[in-house]
Amino acid sequence: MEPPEKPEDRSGEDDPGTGTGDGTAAAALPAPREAAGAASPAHHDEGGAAAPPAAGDPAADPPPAGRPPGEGGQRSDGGAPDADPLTTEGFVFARLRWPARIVIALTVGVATVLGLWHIAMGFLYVAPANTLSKEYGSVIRDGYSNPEFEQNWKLFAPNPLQSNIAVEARAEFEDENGAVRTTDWIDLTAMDIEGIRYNLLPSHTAHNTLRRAWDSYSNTLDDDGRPVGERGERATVYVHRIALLRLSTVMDTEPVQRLQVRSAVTPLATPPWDDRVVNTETVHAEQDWRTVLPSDRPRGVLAPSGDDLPPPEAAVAEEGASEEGTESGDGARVTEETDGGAGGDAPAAAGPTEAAGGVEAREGES
Amino acid sequence: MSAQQPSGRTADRPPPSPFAGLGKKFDASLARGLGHLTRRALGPHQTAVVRIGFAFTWLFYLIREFPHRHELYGPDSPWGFDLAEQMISSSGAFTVLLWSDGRLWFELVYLTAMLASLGLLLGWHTRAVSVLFMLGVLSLQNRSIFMGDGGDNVVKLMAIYLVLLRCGQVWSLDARRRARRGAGPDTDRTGVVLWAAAGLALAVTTGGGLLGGWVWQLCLWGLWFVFGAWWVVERHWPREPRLVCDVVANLVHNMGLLIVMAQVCLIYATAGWYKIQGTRWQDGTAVYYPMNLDYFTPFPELSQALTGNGALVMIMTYGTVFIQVAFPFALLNRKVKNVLLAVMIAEHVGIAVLMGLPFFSLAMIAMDIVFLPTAFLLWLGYRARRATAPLSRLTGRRPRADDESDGRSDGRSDDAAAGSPPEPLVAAPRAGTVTGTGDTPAAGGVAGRPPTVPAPAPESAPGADRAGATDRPAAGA
Repeated sequence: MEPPEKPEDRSGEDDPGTGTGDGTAAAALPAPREAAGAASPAHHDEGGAAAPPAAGDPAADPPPAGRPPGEGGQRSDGGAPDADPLTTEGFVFARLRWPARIVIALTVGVATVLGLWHIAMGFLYVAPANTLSKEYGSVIRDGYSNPEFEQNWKLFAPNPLQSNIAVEARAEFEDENGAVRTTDWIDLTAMDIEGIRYNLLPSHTAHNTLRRAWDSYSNTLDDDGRPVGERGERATVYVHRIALLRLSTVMDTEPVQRLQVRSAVTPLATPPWDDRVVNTETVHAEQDWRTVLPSDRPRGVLAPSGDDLPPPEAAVAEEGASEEGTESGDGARVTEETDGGAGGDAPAAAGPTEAAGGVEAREGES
Repeated sequence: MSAQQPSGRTADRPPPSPFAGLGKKFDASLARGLGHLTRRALGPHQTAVVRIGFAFTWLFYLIREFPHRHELYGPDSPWGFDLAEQMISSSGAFTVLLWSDGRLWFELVYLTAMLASLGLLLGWHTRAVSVLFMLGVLSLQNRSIFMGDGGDNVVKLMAIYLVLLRCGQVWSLDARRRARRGAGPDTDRTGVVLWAAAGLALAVTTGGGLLGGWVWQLCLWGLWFVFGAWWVVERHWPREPRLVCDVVANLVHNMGLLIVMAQVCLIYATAGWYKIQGTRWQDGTAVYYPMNLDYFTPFPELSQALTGNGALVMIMTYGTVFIQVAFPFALLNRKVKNVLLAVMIAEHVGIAVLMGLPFFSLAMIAMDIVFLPTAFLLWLGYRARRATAPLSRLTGRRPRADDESDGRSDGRSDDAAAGSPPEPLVAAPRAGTVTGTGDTPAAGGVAGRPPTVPAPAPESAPGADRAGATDRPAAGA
């Protein structure tokens, strides 16, 4: 790379002159540009040391922006052309001393290689699995791109999500009499939606937190619907912590001992003009009960503050209905939801906690 | 026979070989290319506006999430310190937030990230602050990786790339400082203090074994060393070593710019090509679904109204795929590029409102604008300056003539270029274009200077000459 560069750069040296025109006239006006180019290099080469760009040949005057602070200032203040050819805009590669030439040549080489390498890695990272990315997967992913250059641009692709996926939770707690009771299912996603509706600037806490947590959680599930591996364990803890945090905004979670989450997937109806038929019935997938650990409870700034929170009892639907819901199939669960809704004042969107009248205000805040 | 058949042939000369002189042409253009890449940092306005765009996006985001910062990134977040620690220990991502689980440390980091965004937005000690900005973005995002979406991903990548760019050449406090200072480097006391503080911080964190792997140590210490060396060279070896540093910085900048542009293409190409494989994108209904999902309908009535018409949905669906797939190729033609860019930006504005993804859209737009034509950016800059003129007068700033030159790294060369004889030659075709906007002539008149547009036009990035100056502002608008 180095040897050919010197002579080439010499010829390219008249370029800042033409270059000025280059950006401007570009393809539109090749002829004048040639003319200007023909005129200026002459200057440039004889003048060499006479700082042609400064005052002599305005065509060769370099664009202002590329120049570092120092040079511009010097020349402007000097007014007269100073005898220094060493401006970034007008330097002649071949007239530099050899250490300088080596450094520049090396930089050209290294920057080119690294830049193209980065772009190639990015391309292979986002491309579908292919001959190269299968062969060199470890280099592309763990060797280079992860973690800082991780990227994913399958935005709503290949197919957009076509179902509303809601996450619901219910808590098991011990009441004053020592009886173990279970709250009704509480729709956590509805709280997100409440934060998004009619909001020009929805928070990431409403848009991403639960949605992405559930996404990563469900990606770790095996065929039986159980989380697998270290990632699965982390995702499980994460989802349950979010659930507990959300519950703590609508009820006193102190007595809660165990927690269960489930997803409620409701496929969207196809557009009216589309003749495909989709079953839009909600399908629930319940996860295992999980014991609440002290580290799972919201703490610090996020610790629930109010003593005015209703006890979990407020969220308990009629015992019978709840039992029935857990045991029977999907249809029965729908019934159960209806029951919860009937018990409260508002439909599922606000969660069944409004069974206790005083809760509504709280809900509004959350 | 010989007289008939080749009658034309003998008389005519053989057609010139299209390959004649190809080697020479190649050499010449290579040399020209290297000349561009070494002598200047291309796209000063494009990189400046990208810098401003991403700094604004992140700052705005941090301000918006200020009430939720603990839930998102704090030590008490549901994505707890323990979970983050496990995750990072296997991934090795960089974050300073795991150095301590203290409340105070978190608040300090969040505040610093905000200040770094503000600094980058204003272009205050741009090179140093861009590093701080990157560390802020990485620290927060890597602390809670499940909180982010595509927009955060773009911000993260661009925050890293911005470190490579000389993105404070124009429209920055640095540029203003340079213009005011005139000749020669000043002492730059603030810079020295920043540098010393950074050195101390690096020493402490390296000593404490906090600074991640060797890659990060190398990068951060390397940057620190480079900043120091730059200062010394600028003051003590103003001739050749200074020049070499400048050339190296230009080369790095230009490669960084190429990476940024390639990244944008990669994003749209990926988004487009994967969509083509989807059946819903094929049957023209895809847009219907997200716009009817609870999570993406902040204004359900509006979304339903828009998705009520099958033909409209189909146009939106196909249109999205078309422009995303076409975008990288559209860069080959300036006009097509500008039209697509305008459509793309409009679509992102729509997404921001209709799907409730304002920060994602802002990030995407900040990324798109790297391809905006220089003439449009200059016009925009001028309008912005004029719009804020009363404000500047209020704050006791000197009038606009001064501000004008502040806009560029070097006021003088503008004058020279603007007043130069060959300039009309170069600017003539552009002047016509510019007049088309109807605004620029006024620009010259009001400012009492030649129109701002022609002068800096040569700056336009030739590597990015599709982002070049000859673009019609109207198309970009």
